[in-house]
Amino acid sequence: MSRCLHRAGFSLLALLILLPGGASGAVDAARYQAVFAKASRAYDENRMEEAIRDWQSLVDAGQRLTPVWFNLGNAYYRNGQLGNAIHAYRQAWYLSPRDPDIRANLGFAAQTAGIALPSHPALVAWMLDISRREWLQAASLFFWLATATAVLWILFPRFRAILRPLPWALAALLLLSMAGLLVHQQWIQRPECVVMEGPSSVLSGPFEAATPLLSIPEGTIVRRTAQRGGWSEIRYDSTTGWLPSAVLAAVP
Amino acid sequence: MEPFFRRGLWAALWLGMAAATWAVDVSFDVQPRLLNVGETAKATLIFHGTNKAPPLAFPDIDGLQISTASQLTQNINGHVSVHLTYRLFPQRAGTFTLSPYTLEYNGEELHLPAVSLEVRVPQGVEASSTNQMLFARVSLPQTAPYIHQPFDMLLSIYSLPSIQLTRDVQLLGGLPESGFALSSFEELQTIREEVNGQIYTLRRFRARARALTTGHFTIQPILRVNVVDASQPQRRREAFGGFFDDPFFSSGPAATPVNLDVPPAPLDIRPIPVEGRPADFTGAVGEFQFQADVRPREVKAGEPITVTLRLQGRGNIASARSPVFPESTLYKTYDPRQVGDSPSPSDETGTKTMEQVILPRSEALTELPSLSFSYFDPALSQYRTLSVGPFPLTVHPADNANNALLLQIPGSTAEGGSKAIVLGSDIVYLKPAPKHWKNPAASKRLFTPAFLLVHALSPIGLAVLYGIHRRRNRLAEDIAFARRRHAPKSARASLRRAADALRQAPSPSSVFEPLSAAVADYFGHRLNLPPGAVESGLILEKLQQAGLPEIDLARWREFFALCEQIRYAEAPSLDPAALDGWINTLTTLLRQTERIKL
Repeated sequence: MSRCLHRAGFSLLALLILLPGGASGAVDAARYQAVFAKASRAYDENRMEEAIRDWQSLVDAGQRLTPVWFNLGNAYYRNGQLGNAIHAYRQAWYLSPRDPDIRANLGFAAQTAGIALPSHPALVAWMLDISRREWLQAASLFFWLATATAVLWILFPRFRAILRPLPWALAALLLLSMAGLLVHQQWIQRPECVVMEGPSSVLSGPFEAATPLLSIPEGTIVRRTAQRGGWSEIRYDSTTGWLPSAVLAAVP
Repeated sequence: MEPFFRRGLWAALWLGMAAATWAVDVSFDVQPRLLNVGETAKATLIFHGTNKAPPLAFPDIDGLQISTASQLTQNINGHVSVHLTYRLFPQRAGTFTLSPYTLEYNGEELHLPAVSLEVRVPQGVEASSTNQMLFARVSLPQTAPYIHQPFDMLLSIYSLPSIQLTRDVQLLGGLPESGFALSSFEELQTIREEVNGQIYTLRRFRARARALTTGHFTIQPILRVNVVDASQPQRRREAFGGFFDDPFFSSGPAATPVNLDVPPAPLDIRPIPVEGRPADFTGAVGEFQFQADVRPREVKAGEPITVTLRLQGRGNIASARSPVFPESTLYKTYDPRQVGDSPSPSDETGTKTMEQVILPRSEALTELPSLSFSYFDPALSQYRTLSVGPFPLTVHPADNANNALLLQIPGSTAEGGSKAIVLGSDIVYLKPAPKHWKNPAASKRLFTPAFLLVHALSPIGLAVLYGIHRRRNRLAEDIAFARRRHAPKSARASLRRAADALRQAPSPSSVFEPLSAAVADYFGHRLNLPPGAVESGLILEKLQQAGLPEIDLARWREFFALCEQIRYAEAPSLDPAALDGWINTLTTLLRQTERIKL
């Protein structure tokens, strides 16, 4: 029996290694490190255009990491490009939603732009405060704990009295994790977009002659609910209207 | 004190009487103004603000008899008026003009406007069809209004004077179901109108409409009126009001509902033009006034200033947005909040009041900039911009300057060209480089196929584990099941021994002993029998009950007979090939038995 347990433990470990984010391969870390350091130097020496170019090159190379987005946001902010700054900060926020530095700078940039950050019901806000990757890791962890509990339940009937509350607790946690993933999925299907040019007029229809409903400044964060041609249907506060897709940058 | 009070009382009374006298106004109207010879019109003269009226005798008018006045005094909520009603009997066709008259009342001259009365000879031929007796029209004074521009919609019901309609009129449909904001219909004064030589009684209903979207629409309302059935005379009411004259027992006159088809009226809703649209235009259409009030004007840095923004007017006031002050280096703004009720989307007129709190950051703030509100005026077909401000301010240094919230805005300078001082907070500095870099070649997806496969296989593995565990438990607990599973294995061991015996000493007794042991073991386990209970008769009976073919049963019988012969009598002479053949035969028979249910 102990040999069987050893085998099960090894299998579980192997499966946990396969959790999202576990995959990594050979990367040109030295080159990325050098570009990052060069961009930081340019920032310190107030060469913002160069800093933006370098950090943006890292993003374009697939290094969509919190420090890269955050520093890119700082460079955009210092360069007076508030829409781009808010976009970069928001990208960083999606990766690390509880990072106080990101919250501070995002709030600061939003205040400078004269916009209010989107507010959500308390439960949704809490679920968005945990990143999608974290929810997935939690769901995977609870899934394997539930599986391990089931294995123990099968192999050791005498422990069933002790294990009895565990399946319910794990099922509840698994459901909660799935709900968190579902909320993030909603944000993927109807992503947030940052208005990159302002003030932009939200129109009542997807054509130039449509009636303007409201004017929103650069950096405003809206939700995109649909797309038609070169137009995006957006929702801001309680208003639904249309904006040219060209003035929007989707997050994440 | 007392004489003073008395004098004051007298003065108040005198002023009240004088005011009552001076406030007299008079109105004069005649209805209907278009009628046939033989019909009667009614002239009404109303003195407002008095309970006494001078008798007015109209001068003689040729062809028009005027009755003496009947007088009625009304007092509704303190508003006193005297109504003088005259009956006018035209005795010939023609146009009669009453007044203008000038009355003298309490030394004041009151002027009555001129009123014309047109009297026709009745047409010889009555209207022949229902559509000529009773019809309706819809009229739109503006056939191409702009989006959000209020416009009138007028419903007219024409009926011959001989047709009596009940008061209620139903609108059954025919108006656009969406894209319009429509007020309720109000009934205007009933008049007479001539159509194709016939005089009709005209009931008119007016509503205000506003289109919420552009496009071409057709307005074709369906109206239902109730025509009083003249053939069913109403029950005569008792002179002094009997018990059954109570309205509770009366269902009113018998009436027949009639649907009126209204000719369609086209309506083109125009979009507001793109040309000349101001940058700050937010979709307000109509006629608006915009005011702003800033208080206090003298504060210390960090103290709040309240800006009251008031937007009122006629149009889409509910969706019109008042401009607000944006964030600045010199002051901090808070989100504006609405004060009081917000107009509903169907309201044509209304007022929106917003309050915005502003905190000056430093004494460098000398004024709040001007605000402008742009709207489209459909009456003028052009955009208009209203501006208020700038609002001069006096800002003194804060008591504790370190608490002042001064923020550095990139590329911006404070008043006077110097950079704003960073006293409070700034953006957080750069983050260090990541410890781990991503492999660009790796999948960017969170749900990789391997991840999904492993998670999908887990329940399958769990099910397999459960199955194995359950089988093991059954083998341990269920002897019959365990022996049944063991039966083929035990038979195979004896068959192998028979094959070995055939190779080493090919005699019938050495071969048939393990063969009979194989059969005894197999059926002992298979049927869960004790070792001594396995008999050929029992086996043959079970095989026969299981439906084994007769040819196979014959082989089994032959095998059992041979076993008996070898064990208890002289062994028959069987060569090795024959012995090998029996090993194969028994193997085949046992395999066949394994497949049937005993």
